[in-house]
Amino acid sequence: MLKRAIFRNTVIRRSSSEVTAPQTSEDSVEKPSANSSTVYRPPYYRKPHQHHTSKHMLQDEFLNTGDATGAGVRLFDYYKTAEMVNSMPTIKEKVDLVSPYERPWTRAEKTWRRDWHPTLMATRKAWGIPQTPMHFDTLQYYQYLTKTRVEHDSLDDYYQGLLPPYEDFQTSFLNTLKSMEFGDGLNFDEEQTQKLLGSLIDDAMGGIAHNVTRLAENRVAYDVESEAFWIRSGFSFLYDVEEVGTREVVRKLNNYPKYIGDDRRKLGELAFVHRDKLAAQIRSKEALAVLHSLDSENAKLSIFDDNKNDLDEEIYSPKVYNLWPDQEPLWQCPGYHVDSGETHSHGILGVKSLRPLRERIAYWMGYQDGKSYEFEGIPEAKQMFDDAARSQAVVSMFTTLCAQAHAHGFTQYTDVTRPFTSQLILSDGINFFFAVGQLNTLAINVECEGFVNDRTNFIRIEGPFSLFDIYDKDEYQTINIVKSIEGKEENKIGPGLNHKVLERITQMLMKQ
Amino acid sequence: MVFRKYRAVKQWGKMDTRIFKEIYNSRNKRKMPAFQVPEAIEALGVKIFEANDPMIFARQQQRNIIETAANDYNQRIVQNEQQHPLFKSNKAYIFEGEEPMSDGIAQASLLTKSIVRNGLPESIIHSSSKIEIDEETVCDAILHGERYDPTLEKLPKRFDPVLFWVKHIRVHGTPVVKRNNIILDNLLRQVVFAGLRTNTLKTNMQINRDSPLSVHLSGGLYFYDNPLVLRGQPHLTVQSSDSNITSAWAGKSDIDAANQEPLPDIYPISPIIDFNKDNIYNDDLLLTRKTHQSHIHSVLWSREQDQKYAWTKEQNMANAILTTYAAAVAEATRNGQTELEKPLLVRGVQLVDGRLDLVAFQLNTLELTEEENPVKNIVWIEKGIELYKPKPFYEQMEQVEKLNMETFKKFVALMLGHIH
Amino acid sequence: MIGTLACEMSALRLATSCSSKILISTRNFPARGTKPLPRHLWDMKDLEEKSGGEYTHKPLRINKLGGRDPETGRKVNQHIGGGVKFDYFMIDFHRRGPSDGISTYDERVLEVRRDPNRTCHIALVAGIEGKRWILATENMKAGDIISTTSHLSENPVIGVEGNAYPIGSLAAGTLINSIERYPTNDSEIFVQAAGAAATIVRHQGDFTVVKLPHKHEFSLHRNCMATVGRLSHADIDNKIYGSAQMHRRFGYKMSSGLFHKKDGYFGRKIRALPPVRQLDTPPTPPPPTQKFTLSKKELSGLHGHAKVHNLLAHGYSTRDYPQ
Repeated sequence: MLKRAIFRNTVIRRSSSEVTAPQTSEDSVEKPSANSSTVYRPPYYRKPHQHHTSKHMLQDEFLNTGDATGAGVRLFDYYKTAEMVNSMPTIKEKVDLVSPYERPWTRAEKTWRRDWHPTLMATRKAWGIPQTPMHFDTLQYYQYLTKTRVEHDSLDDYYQGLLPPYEDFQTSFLNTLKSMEFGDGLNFDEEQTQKLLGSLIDDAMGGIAHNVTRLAENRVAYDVESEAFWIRSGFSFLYDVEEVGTREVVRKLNNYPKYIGDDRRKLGELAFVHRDKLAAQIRSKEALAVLHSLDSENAKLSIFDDNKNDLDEEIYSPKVYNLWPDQEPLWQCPGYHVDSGETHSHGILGVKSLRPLRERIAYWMGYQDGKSYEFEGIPEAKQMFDDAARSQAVVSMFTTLCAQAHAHGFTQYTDVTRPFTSQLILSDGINFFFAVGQLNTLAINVECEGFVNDRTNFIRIEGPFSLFDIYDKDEYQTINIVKSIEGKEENKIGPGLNHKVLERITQMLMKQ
Repeated sequence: MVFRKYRAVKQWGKMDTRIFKEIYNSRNKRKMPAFQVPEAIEALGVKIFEANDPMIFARQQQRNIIETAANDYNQRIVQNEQQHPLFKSNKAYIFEGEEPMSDGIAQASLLTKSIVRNGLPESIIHSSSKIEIDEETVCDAILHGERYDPTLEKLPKRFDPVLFWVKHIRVHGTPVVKRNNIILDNLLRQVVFAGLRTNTLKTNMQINRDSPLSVHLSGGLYFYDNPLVLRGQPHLTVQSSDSNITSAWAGKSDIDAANQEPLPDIYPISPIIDFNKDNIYNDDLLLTRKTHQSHIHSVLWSREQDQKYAWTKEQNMANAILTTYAAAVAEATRNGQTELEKPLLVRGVQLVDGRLDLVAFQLNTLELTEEENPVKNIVWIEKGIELYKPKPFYEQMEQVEKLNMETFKKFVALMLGHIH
Repeated sequence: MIGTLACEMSALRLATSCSSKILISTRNFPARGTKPLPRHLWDMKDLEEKSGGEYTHKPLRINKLGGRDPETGRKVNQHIGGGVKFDYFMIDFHRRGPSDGISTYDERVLEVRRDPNRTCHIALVAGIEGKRWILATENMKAGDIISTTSHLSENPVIGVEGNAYPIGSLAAGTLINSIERYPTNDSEIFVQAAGAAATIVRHQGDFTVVKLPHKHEFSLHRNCMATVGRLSHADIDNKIYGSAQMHRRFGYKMSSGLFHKKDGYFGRKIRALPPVRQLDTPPTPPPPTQKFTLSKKELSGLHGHAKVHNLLAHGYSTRDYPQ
């Protein structure tokens, strides 16, 4: 059942002390958990799934918890892989070890296979998350895929103290808009939007370059790929089949094809890949300041408000959300490849174009010409756009941070020991979203009884802000909050662009 | 009984066959004059069919279908071309940077009516000597393009002039033009920031990427009947609202001295042999930010050398001179002016294979010939100075080898230097 | 004199009966089986398509024929096939210049390079009309100025190497190359191989006698253009390929390896030189053969009395032929 909820309210959470979960008897009992030192090697014949149903009591097996659920095997496998990853000398080898990519069979392998040779099993393909969401209501799904907690709130207190000038930026960006014939922005191409966002960063940097010397030390890349792959668990429900005739739902694992993207052992862990194309990316040698530490309470809040454990209504097969399997090789590429020896390995700011999203929403609304479609006036379309933009922010942020963490040697088996932070601007030229995100955990690929990982990733999204309100005869006019003579703040229409947007972009550039 | 009279003499035998075949074959080999349609009938213009053709009607139909299809296709191509919005009936000589100038710098200076000065003026180099940019930064800028860029596109086939028969594996990576463009981007940014910090540049530069530039010239010795169109798509077009950046480097006395010098003579080569003629071009100026209060500071672009037929240093420099000339003419005629009030200067930087071609073009006149107007333009060039030693495109560069900071200093001087 | 000599060598047999000695037969005369086969190396139709019908100095990639006839597809030339795909440079063999005696068409040699498609080196020359490739003569180097003139001067001209003149205006004894067969723009060219040169023997009226490198003499129109000098890359015969594989890379196939018994037709023959052949007009193509289908009466093969109307013999009895 798909939802198209309008005007969703979200609760802003500060700390978990306010949240009181009902104390049940189960909570008082210690949940079984394992770590690399306590896990033991189960016998070789133990499998993740027990298919044998005893026909009579002589066939009954009395297994321990771990072997009954298959968790023992899985956990041992997980920690053993972590050991192997740690033993790899270079980061490239670590990434190649954990990569779920399986190369396609070559023509020779296919021609020379004989009937008595084993069948060439289908290679594992990752689910490709598209550049902008191709389905509506993807926010909760993407949140689950990346285990991210979302806050829709202002970023003012994050940038407290940074009061950059934006006059020069405004003049030069107005000139750029005129030179690219932006107009009201409705008839703008995807390619041109990418160029425009690149020029946006150029103009922003130029506006403050005379004071901020560290801008010259950053690396600025335009039209750069930001790709990452990860494995997300919890998709075992895909093997649930309702038996014909009965109303029973049975998990069919024995003698049943594995789902695309899943591990060979049908563990319900699907591989996902996101091949993002950022219009601009700024990288530096030093990392951004961390929002909250790994041990703090904020890192352990759950991703959905009401602490839902029953996620049946949120999680579906990836096909539902218009994801398609991707056969191409998988990379961890946060704007650079892990074996390139990049010195500026921390991505500070990424700028992503949302223009294809605009065209897609026009297509959903049934309009033929996707480009010159103004849906700011139509609440349904606007809601869809905002929702999709936020989910894109979640996924893009996770992609860069996951790739950066891998580039620093952390994998999903060897979790991050320090948080990674980054900033993101998403825009289609007219609407702007700003996001600040933090990666607290990568270990989202295993879900079984003994595995405990409370940490979640975090993103705070601000927006949408429109660049201008009125476009009339080559003049842009915006309603800005201006301090009047009495000292009050009031809205005032003036020529130029949205000061908040310009200010925020400059603050993001200056943030250390 | 009537047939009895006409009884065959004998049964048809082997010898009869042989004799028959001999006569038949030799008769077939006889060359008789082919039937020629009399001129009178051809003049009538009627359709003449081949009577012996067994498939006469079917073939006619087929031929008609094929002919009409071919005609339609050709007509459609011609129509598409003619319906192009920029189609002009008069062909023009087009320079696009694809064809090298046969006589190199001499041909370029003859076409642009300019006197060539090898090397940037001393005062320019001095004025920018205070600007300090680290060697590390330059190395970093180069390595960004060569090593850290994550693009994975199939690179062109590798051609080895010595072992020409070996089929090498195709490697994937960043294309050479993209690599060089990234390097130019980074170097420009460092220079602009350094300029802003030391107050050499008053306002930030307005940069446009990959914007087309097209300039239409006519008149002169060669371009009366067919005009000349110089066009290109430089990766970086740097403009500024400050009008001082186009201030000329050569004063009145220097210009007079240059006017006395003769232009090179490239007889027997004609300077227009390397342009190709085409109907589709812009007859007005195509320049980004044309209507703004901006002035072109410089154009920066890069070229990939053809593996088999690499251009010489002179040919590369000629290409750079012509492109910078196009930018200079664009700057002069940007608001539709046909007269040049005062001399202006535009810079051009070309990066080819690790070598920079620096051009500073001072436009003193818009005329193309010497006859009415003895005033000449002046161009300062630095031909093929090596910035770094690149590796072949199929190899990965780990460290920048042979980085020449002198070259980079000249580049900074070109971009930020000014006559006081 | 030849007659007596040949008689001594018992090569000739003259008719002794008549007074004038008429040659009736000799050993190795007339020359039989010496007409050279056409060399099918490149697909000329493909060249037309790729170049757009006009001359271009840009290197092209055209299909190779490998010694196969383009129409029938059968192998005509042996030992050609395969090899690395080289770029094809269109060579302009016909050099034309102004025919007033005063001006010449000058060109500057821009570069001289090897051509993988021929033994000779080629030179890129640029003039007022444009750039083109020509066969380079021995001492041609980049920067030289070569000129072309189509003016027939009364006094024989001492040709400068690299320049092109009509053969009628050159002095006897000059070494020339790239000689047009007929004074048209699409005639074939004599002397294209590396290091080759023809000699002008004498001028006879409207024709010039030219001795080609294989010692045969031809009488060509005086207007035919030729370049003065010996062709470049004469030392190609000293160069060795080094291995069978290198031969293959250049497009030469190996010999069959089987033993072929040779008979009297093989081997070099010492022959007298043929007389000077005059090339006046290009040969017209032979008229097409006429195809005939015989009538049923002619096909029946019956003669004389038996040649009756076909219905009489057939259909009135079961046999085609009466007994």
